[in-house]
Amino acid sequence: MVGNFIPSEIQRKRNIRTGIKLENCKARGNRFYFSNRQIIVTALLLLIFMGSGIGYVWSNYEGTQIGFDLSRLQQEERTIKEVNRKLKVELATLKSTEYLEKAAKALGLKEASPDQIVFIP
Amino acid sequence: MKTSDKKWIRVRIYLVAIFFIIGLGANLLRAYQLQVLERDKLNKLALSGYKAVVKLPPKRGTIYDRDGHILADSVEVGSVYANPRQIENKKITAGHLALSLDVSSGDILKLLEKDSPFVWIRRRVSPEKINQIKSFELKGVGFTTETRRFYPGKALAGHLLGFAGNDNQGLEGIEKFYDNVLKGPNETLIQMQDAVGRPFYISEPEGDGQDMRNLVLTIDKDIQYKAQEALEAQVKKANAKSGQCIVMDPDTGEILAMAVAPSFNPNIFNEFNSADWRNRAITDCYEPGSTVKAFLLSAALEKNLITPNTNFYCENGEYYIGGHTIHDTHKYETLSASDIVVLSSNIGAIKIGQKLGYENYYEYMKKFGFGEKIGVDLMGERNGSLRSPQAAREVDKANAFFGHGLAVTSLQLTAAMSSIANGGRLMRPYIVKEIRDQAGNAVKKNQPEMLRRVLSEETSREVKRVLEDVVSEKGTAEKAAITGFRVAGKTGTSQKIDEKTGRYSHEKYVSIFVGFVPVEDPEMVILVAIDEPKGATYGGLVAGPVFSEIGKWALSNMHVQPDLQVASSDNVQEATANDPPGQSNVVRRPIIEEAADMESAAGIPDFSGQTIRQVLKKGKSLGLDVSVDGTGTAVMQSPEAGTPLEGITSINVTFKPAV
Repeated sequence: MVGNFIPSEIQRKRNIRTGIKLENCKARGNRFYFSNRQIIVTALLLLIFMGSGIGYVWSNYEGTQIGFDLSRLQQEERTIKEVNRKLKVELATLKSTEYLEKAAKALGLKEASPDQIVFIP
Repeated sequence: MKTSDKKWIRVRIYLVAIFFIIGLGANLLRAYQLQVLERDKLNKLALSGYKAVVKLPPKRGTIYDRDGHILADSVEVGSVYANPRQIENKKITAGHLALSLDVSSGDILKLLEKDSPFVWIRRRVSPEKINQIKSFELKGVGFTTETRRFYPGKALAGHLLGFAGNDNQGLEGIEKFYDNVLKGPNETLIQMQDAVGRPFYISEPEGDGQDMRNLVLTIDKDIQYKAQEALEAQVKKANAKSGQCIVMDPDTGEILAMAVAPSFNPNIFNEFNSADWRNRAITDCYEPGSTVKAFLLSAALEKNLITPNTNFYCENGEYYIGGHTIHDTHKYETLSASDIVVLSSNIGAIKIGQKLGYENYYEYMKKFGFGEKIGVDLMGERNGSLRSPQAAREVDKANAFFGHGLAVTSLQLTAAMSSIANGGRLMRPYIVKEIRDQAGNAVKKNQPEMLRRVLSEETSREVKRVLEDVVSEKGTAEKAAITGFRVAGKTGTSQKIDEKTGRYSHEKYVSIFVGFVPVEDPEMVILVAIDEPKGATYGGLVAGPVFSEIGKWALSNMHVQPDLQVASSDNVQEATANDPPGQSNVVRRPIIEEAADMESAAGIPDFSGQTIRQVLKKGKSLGLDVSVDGTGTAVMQSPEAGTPLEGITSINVTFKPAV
């Protein structure tokens, strides 16, 4: 029966500072002491806590950096598209018949007469 | 512990509790105020710290010619502004700005001395100039981006395209007529930025629902260029007031070119008078003169009242009618109906008109599209005028038969001549071929539209035959001829009303030629009208050569093969030495007939060793479709040389480069 069980002094007493039962400690006195398992678990918990903290900050930082990069690239894209548009207008100017005719005449070329033209099918 | 002590402790506990409850309550109330009552306002305030709404410069659709060459486009350019209140040394700032912008520093200084927080220094300047000004790091000077409309062809089709204003609104021409289509949306985007203004989030641009479209015109930029250049040269040479030219595809009604001289450059429209912006080809009316004789003849033939050979007495050059005497340039006794048109006899035209009757003439002129808008997709088209049978006196009727007392636009005249050229169908002229979205897909395609049938095919053929003789040594428009092609048309020289006297002027004329080429299957109708030429005024002499020049260029541009045998350049030199002057180098017989006589007996010739050019020429002369494979000289042919020509329509020739 449970009623017959009388805990010994060691079983009853706890470390005053830590509240850990003395029977679970290697040192049976009131000295501050952690078992190896406790140290490992604590260290692991600390690591997880710190890791997740750092991870959170890092991901936030990365997110912002990517945001900066994305915005820069978006602006760059707009600029490049605009340059492309300008170049197309420039090309149209250079390909204008007036410009080409002047350039051709400067090279000594002249208009072909109808009999000199052969249309390839 | 005494009872009084216990009570005091309880009171103190209550005091502390009340203190905390009040504090908590105050906090909750404040939280409610901030989170609920002032939520929107504070949210806005917070967002404004890191969120900026950027307004993008307004865009405008691109205008292309029929082959996809850009005629008008908008690009972003920088504009310079200043806050004069922030500028410490205005003289130095004005000096720097003036240096970069090539303007006098006095003008800039005037702007900077204004008591205003904002002044435009110069809008829409080149990126180089902007960079130069930026390098000075001037305090109180800022930059912004705006769009500018560019017309790369400069004056090319300037009157047709019109222009768009500073605020992205079409003001003239196609830019105005299609403003709703070309106008882009007013776009904004949201940009989130950090404390130093670096953006870390940019949203997709949001528009106001306005769809921006691009336009593809029926205009061919090369033909347009030639039309403009040749017209301008002639206007200058004839010391004329202005000129107009239209090139139209008679089968579809597509306008291939529409030119007005003097030209105007829409890039710098402010530097021209508003009168120079006008597209005279559709907004100006003039009396068509003898060109209407083509339509008069058409109507009389269509009504079966005459034949081209019906003779009319031309009164020896002087005819008294309705109290007025009508004169001919040359005296004629009797002329056939066709000769009346070819030699352009006014008295003869009156005689045809009398046979036709003014009511019929009026009906046909209406059918040809005169006296009302033809419905082209351009701003400012005019009706012209045509006297109704009830309103016309006898002399008015007589005048109308040779093109006086009525007013037409160049576009009406071109469309009417097109209906003769294409077998009798009046087509609606149009300028915009397609409306495209930004991805290049056609949103709307304009199709050729036949307004009505004016003439039968047979009448059209007869009139074409007569009009072909106009462009011969016998007719009035010899100078409109194009080497290698059969050309038809009609000249016109109309007197203008003198504004001072209100009577016909003997100095001011409009010289017109409207014709088409090639006669058999016309590719284009070309109208040339020169307003108030000095010296020679006859349409055939003034407008004819311009027709010829534009036609020659346009035919080559459209890859139309000559339909007449042309003496080669080498032979011409030999021939001209022996031939009497004025003899044409053109043999007026279709090549196929000629070739058939000489070559059919021999069968397919041996092409080996010949160049592509020689083979194509020979093949064409035999009426064969030649398919070319490789380059160099001919090494193989199918069917083989000597095969009888009968039943053979095509030939394959293989070429290899000579070793």
